Amino acid sequence: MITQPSIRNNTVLSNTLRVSRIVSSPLPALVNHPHHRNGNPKKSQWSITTVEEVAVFANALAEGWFGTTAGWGLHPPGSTPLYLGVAVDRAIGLFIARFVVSARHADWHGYPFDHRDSAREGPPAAVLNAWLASRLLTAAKIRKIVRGQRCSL
Amino acid sequence: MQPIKLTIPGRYWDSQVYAGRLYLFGMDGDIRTLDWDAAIGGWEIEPRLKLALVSGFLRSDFLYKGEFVAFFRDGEVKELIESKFEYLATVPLSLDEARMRKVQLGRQDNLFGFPHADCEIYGRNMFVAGPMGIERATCSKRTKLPVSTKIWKRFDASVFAIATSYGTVASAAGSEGLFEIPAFDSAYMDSSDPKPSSRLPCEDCHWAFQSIYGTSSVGDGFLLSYTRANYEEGIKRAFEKALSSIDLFGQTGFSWGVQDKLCLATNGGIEVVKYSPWNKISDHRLERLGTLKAVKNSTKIVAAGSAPFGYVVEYEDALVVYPSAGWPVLISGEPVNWRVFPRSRHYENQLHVVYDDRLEIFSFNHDYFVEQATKVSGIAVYRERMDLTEPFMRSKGRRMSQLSSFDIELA
Repeated sequence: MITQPSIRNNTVLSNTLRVSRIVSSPLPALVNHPHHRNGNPKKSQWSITTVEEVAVFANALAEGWFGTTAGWGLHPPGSTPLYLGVAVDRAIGLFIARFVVSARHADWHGYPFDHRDSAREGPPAAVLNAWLASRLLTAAKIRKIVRGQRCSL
Repeated sequence: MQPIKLTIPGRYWDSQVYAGRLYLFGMDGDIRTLDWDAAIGGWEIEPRLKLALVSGFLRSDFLYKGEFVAFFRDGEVKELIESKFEYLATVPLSLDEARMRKVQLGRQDNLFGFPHADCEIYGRNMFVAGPMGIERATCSKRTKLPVSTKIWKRFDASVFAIATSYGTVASAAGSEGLFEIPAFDSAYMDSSDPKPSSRLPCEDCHWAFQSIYGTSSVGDGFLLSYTRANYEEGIKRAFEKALSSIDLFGQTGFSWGVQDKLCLATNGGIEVVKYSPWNKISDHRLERLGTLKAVKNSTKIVAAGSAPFGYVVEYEDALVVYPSAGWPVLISGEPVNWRVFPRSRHYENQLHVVYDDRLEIFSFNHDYFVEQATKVSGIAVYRERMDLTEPFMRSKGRRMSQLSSFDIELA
């Protein structure tokens, strides 16, 4: 079972996305994967800054929007969601971030998640219920996410 | 002809109607079951509107019977029946809380995964699918609660949509492809991981007779074509071939297929192909019927479905019904959920639309007067002949409600 990361100190070091870790703590870090910012034609692309990405990750942690192997976030934290990236086709805006951990390095990285892609990788019921309860997303939007349907904000 | 509309206030996620019962999945995590036969059968309304009310919400098959075709060819009879539906469409119908309590059969915790992506009732069992996989529970009217609290897991992997027929739950799992899961085989869950019937991505699926159509908004839709044969032990399906939407329509677009109609929406129109898998000449199994004019931009399509009364297309902020006769019907607003019941024998004319504060049940009744073999919009209804040697609508020893028991007068 993967230990969920937590943030004790959300300082962002210059030029990196590293979330400061307590030296003695075995906490993983959030790292920046360049292929989600370099126009890689096979990857979704972020449209928010790295600082904003960290904030999305930190908020997802604070809210507990994590399953056993992945976490999901919305931008901006605590407010009506906005788009945070674009899909592989570059035509569809994406508003859910997905964070996954590398088994080898225990580092986390995130990417804009296309909920139409995989039923298996989508947010679990607990996260969807949290978004419903907090009214960050309407029931209609939640239905489209859980059905893998086209969804605009 | 405008649809009849019945409103049920409340906060719901989804709805189902089956065998005289209406199931309401509440946003608070409950399932409320209503005696739908009693709710509509006991509705106080002018006697002259009873036929429209009962046909509209309880027994769509009344007026699809083969014998009525001759009646409807009489212009005066047709006009009389149509006038009843048209008048009822102007009457606001609402099932308020007091009425709901009178016909409530049960209100229980929803033990299925919630929020679910899709659900179907098949063979007196409720199948619910979503991030939790596919779960099943009996709703056979023989359990203490309307939906059994014994939940069986049928499939572990997350799915986007399901469709049931031929003892099988077709399951659309996005990039993982389309799976066919035995609906009732108790040994299934002990077997090894299932392989998908197709690895083509799809987020929705429907049955086209014994074949399955997979809908994809990220790729091309596809038809998994099967043949069927009768054996002593039952009907068996055999995979024949997979056809993409490009094979079927010669172009890309948002496509879907239910029973005898396969559709593809492109800018400006909906192409329709008639599917007749029983045709001995394989080249004649697919027949181009024509193009319907679309009222909205097809690049914004969210989902689509088919019913006898026409095609239902969901756009970002509205549903549009392309009816088998008449002008398209625009239903504004972004719904929480919606569904039609193309496999149903009694509710095939209904469209359920869930909004934040209510469920609206639309009943479309224009299709009784449409020539089924040649219509372009909507799936064909194969009209049964009434068995005049049997009491009207007796089925399996259980006495079905007769026309007269609803005090219906044709005046």
